[in-house]
Amino acid sequence: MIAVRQIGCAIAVLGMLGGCVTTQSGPTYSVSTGKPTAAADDKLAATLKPGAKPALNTDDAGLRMMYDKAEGKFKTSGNVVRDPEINRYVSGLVCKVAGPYCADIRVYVIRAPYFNATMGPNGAMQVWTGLLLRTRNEAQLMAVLGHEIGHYLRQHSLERMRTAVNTSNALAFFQLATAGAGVGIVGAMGSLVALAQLTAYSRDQEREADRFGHLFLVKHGYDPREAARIWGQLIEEQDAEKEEGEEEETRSVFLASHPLPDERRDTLWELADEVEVREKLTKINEEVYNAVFLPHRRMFLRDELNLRRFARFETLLEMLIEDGKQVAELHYFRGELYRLRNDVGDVERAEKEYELAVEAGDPPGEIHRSMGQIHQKLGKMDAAKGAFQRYLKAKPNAEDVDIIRHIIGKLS
Amino acid sequence: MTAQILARLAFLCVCFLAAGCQTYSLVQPARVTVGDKLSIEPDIAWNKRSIENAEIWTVDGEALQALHLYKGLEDGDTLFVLTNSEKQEKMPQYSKTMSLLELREFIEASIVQSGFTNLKSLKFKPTKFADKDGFRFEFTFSNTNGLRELGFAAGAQSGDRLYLVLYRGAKLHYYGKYLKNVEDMIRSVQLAWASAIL
Ligand SMILES: [Zn+2]
Repeated sequence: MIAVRQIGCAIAVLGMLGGCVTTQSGPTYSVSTGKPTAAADDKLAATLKPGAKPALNTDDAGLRMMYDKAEGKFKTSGNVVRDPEINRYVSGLVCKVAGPYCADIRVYVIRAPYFNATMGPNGAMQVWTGLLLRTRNEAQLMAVLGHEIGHYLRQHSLERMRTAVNTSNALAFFQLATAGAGVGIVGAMGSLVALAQLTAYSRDQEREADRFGHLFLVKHGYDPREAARIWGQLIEEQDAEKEEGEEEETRSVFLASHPLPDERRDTLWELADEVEVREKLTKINEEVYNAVFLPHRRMFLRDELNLRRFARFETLLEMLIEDGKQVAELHYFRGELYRLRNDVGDVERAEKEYELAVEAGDPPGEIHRSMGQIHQKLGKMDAAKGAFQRYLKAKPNAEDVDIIRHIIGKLS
Repeated sequence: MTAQILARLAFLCVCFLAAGCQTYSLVQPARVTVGDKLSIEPDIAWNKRSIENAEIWTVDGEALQALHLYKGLEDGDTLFVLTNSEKQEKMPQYSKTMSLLELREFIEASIVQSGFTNLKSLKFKPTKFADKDGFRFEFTFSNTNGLRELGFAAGAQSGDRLYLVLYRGAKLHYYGKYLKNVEDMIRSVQLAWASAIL
């Protein structure tokens, strides 16, 4: 929360220095070559030059400095995923999209179970693990990366700040910086959210970024329909949540101020349909994507379960089970979902899911502990004891073996 | 930019700076009662403030280390009370029928629902708490600024209540700084009606 406070003040000060600025209408540059290009002929024209460093006394430099400060904080934090393979893969994709701007962008994979990605005007990009759990192939991830890079290339944050300062909406804008603070004893995601909230883009900017995401997919030979599918998947989750009345205020900044998911999905479908060579664009690189992320999916799923957004999680699991990759762990987590939700009939549902997980082969070792708990609930004490013993065998070095032995002792 | 907006921005800044302030009182190293049943004997002085169902103690500030002493959770109580009512609604509720494994899940889910991330369970053991059969488990998580914290919860169910002490602090320095004091203090916990001590 300290970070939030500082960002808030930094913006206030920046706003005071801001003075009069004109909206941007300068030269444009090709995203392929980095050379000047005519915006009218180049749909992917950037408004900033590769490697550009704004003069220190400009509002652009001030804005970047603020983000540099926040980046300095979060890049050393425990929330950054350090796995070298994940980082190499995501950075590689970013460079593929960003071309001559590659060196200007730093991407951080953040362990946070929400569908979110952010882009700072200083080139600091975040991709959250909740997003990586939901994108299903390389094309979908590319669509998101392309979207974020679009924000960067078109300097949307700067544009946004200038609009805010010029229209004396400054207060509302600056308050965004503090919106993540002060939730009970701990706050929301602290500086991460504060930072992301600064990039609350306008709807038109979002539409422009979506178009960039789409054009990048086409440019690199990916199936552009995958961009629309991401939104279709999210809509399914949201609908399930609404039906259950579990809807909470959308914590995902990626969604908050954005055009409605339906609109985005439909527009992206239309864009994809208009592509002349679409039949040739079939690349989705699902295998490459899965090779990088499936080994880590259990951790992503655990984080998601911990949020206890049961309706959403159930829908997500159903989609992933349909995909058919490593289904044992998916059935295990669906069992966990039912066990923790504990509605009428959930104990039996959980039991069935655990059985499916065991049938599928190689489920997480924790499944035996969960089965023990379920048997205990159903009054099957011998079965419970057996399951806990299997847990000890499967996870002899688990952090809770002492308590499990204690529980077995009580069951005897 | 009008002068009015500038003034309001400056005011906002002042608010941010003041927001962290809480009123604390001093706890002297002597046996004290928290709620109606739990008593404990600190060996150093702490700063304390009271919330609805607990007292929060700290030496260096809650952001660096905090000890939550619960007065005894009852059915339907939540571990933390959030100001955001929507988030509060999602807070898991204590139930006296919870098993040891479910108690851990309850505490962990409460930590995650409070906005902490990267939670990882560490050692979980049966242990005495006061004279009751209790438990103790350790965990680690990232706080809202992404810094690593360590923590543990120790407690026992007695009657229909859960008596619990939760200690957490920055992994760098501040958790360890008073860990031994906290451990000693927890060994001093007694569960008895205040009148029975007199
Ligand atoms: Zn966007």
